[in-house]
Amino acid sequence: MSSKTGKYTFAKKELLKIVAAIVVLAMVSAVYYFHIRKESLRIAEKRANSTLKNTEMMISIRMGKIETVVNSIQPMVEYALDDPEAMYDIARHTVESSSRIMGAGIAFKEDYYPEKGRWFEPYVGYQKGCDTMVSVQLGGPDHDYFQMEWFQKGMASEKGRWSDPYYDNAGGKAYMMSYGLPIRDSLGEVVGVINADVTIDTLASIVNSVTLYPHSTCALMTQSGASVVTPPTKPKGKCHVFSEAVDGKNLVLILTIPDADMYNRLRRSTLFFVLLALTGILTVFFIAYRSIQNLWKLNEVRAKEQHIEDELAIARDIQQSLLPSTLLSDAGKYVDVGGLQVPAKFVGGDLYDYYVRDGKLLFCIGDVSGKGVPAALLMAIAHSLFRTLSARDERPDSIMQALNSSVSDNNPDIMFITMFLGVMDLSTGIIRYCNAGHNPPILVKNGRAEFLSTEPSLLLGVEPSAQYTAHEMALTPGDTLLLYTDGLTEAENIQKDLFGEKRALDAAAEFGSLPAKEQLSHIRERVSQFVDHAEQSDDLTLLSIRYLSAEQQLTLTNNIHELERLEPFLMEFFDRHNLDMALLPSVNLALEEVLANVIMYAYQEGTQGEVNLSAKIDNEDILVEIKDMGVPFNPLQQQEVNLDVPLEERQIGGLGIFIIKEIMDKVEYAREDGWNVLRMRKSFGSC
Amino acid sequence: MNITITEEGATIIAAFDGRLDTVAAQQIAETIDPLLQHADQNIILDCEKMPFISSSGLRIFLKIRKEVAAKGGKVYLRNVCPDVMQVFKMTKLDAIFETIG
Repeated sequence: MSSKTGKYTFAKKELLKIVAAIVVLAMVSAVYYFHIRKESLRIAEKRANSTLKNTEMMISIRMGKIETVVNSIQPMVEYALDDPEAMYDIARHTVESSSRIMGAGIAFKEDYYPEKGRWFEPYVGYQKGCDTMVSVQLGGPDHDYFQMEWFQKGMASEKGRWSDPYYDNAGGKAYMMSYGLPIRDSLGEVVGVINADVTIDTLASIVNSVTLYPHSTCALMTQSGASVVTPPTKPKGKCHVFSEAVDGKNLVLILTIPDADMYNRLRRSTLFFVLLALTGILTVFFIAYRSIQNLWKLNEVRAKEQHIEDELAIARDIQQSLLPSTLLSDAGKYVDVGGLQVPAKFVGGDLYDYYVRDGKLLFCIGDVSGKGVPAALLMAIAHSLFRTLSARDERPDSIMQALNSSVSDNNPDIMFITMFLGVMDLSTGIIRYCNAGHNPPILVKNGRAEFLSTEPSLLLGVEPSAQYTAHEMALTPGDTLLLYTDGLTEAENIQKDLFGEKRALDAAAEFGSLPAKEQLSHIRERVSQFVDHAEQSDDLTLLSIRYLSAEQQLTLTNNIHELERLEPFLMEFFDRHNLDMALLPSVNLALEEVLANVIMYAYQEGTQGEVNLSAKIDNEDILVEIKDMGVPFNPLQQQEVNLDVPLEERQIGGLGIFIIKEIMDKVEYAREDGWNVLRMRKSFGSC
Repeated sequence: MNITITEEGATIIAAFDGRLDTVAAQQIAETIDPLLQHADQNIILDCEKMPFISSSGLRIFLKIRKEVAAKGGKVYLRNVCPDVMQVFKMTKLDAIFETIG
């Protein structure tokens, strides 16, 4: 649930980021665009101006050539003023001098040649559509040139000048411009105007050849605003207009560039840049999204794993709580039992249990096939079966048999259990046991360790009718029986070496004489050192049973008041072994006699010494051993009291030893390694 | 261990209260001196509240008897419990102490 809202907020966040990135991109693009646009404008202005300059120059040159021709004609006209007819030749000469000149006329002022009438304007030129030149006199009432602008201005000006464009219906029959130059007579008076016509087409070809941008146009106008050359199309939309005056020709070039044309390339490159950047941004986000999606999945898996781990930890606690921790306090006098379990995967498939009932220790250790929860469940079942069955049965073989049939009956997954099960008589140390395919336990005796070499029976859970055989062994005081699962012998280090049986035996021998709990922690430490950093591959379970014997000990110092501790000690001993209390006073008397003797005479006065008493049951006898490190003294060699001698003649000593011998069934003295040892035996069976 | 000494006419009665073990025997070695001073009289050792006697205890009894015998008196044991009686029998001292009650 939380992951969904997480996703949602994440998606929102990511969307915001994408939007932010696009906004930044747009801003960057805009800055880029306007910066480049400014630069583009500058470049376009430069290009436009230089193009205009070039065009202006070409127009100037073309018109200049015509001016030169006309200027060169002027002296000829002034020279030949006396001959009006020569003017036709001069005009023809003018037209022939330049292919650009469509026609040339020389117009004289009113009545300059009286014989020619009021108007006289010889003209030679091509007419539109004709290849041959015509030579005519144009002036007349139909063509009253005195009224015409070119004539009036030409007469008035000092030097040559160009006319505005006009349609010439008389001579050229086309749009024309004319270059006019005043003619002076020998007195310096202006008498007429030479006029050379040039078709606008001459200039139009130059102007129309200007193609700076696909839709840019170039126009030529007079300075007064009359159109000379008009472009075929009119540019649309917003435009940039540049102009250049044609020097001295009364003309202006107008270059018009549509905004769209000018920034077309820039716009295209900007668009390309934006698309490229956008693709980059989206790609980056897509990749990031995918990897974050993977992270989500990973987190979900982690959360699930954590959940399982938490449950396994709880299961482990439950499992650990099933394990026994302490014995009944009474049994602790006979036996020292400790167990240890280190599961490989939180919950393990190993089990061990022990408890004391009716003077017997019932114990088992087992290993369920597999690991984890299924193994732990079967282990819990086996554990409770052990408890239930052993509550009313002390025969390991029949308990095992019942366990096996229960486990086998309902075992669809064919999980099996290896188990070692034993029942120990605490007072004798005799163990009856049954081994269902489990690793042989290690018996540690006098510092030497060896495997219990009984042939194991079939493991549990495989064959409901399998037969299990019980065997018997005896622990003597000080012996340890170490039970374990294969987590001990098969513990693996990084090099895949196994801990092995040899190391297991060595560890058992080394630590077998320690109290059970210490043994186990030392062995575990040994295994940890061996395994080092390798992962624990299997459950490690250990169960140690150390037999303490039924012996009970009492140590007194050589102070006569210490004797007061004897009676409580004997009371406990009798109670523990369920002995007949009627026997207590005499045993007490005999032991007091021995101890009193040692306390008073074994050690020199003023020196401190000890006397040790140990008592145990052997069959139907009470065995007592009293040891001291005093001067060698064999009380049995003391002369016995002769009770038949009259009292007055008797030795006062020796009565004690007499009592001892009288009460005990057997008394032996030995001097052993600096110790006086007195061993006594008293039968309780015959009483 | 306490010993209470009382006189009943010409007879001295010593009542033993507690275990007469080795420790007690050492403690009462001097307590019995007044008894020994009356060794010429009849002395009754009352053992009713004495559940246990060791060889040292026996020696105390023997010492009293020896003193009394020397001075012409007589010693009697009274109310001896079975456990203690067994010790007397075991050591055959039951033969030399006369028991009453």
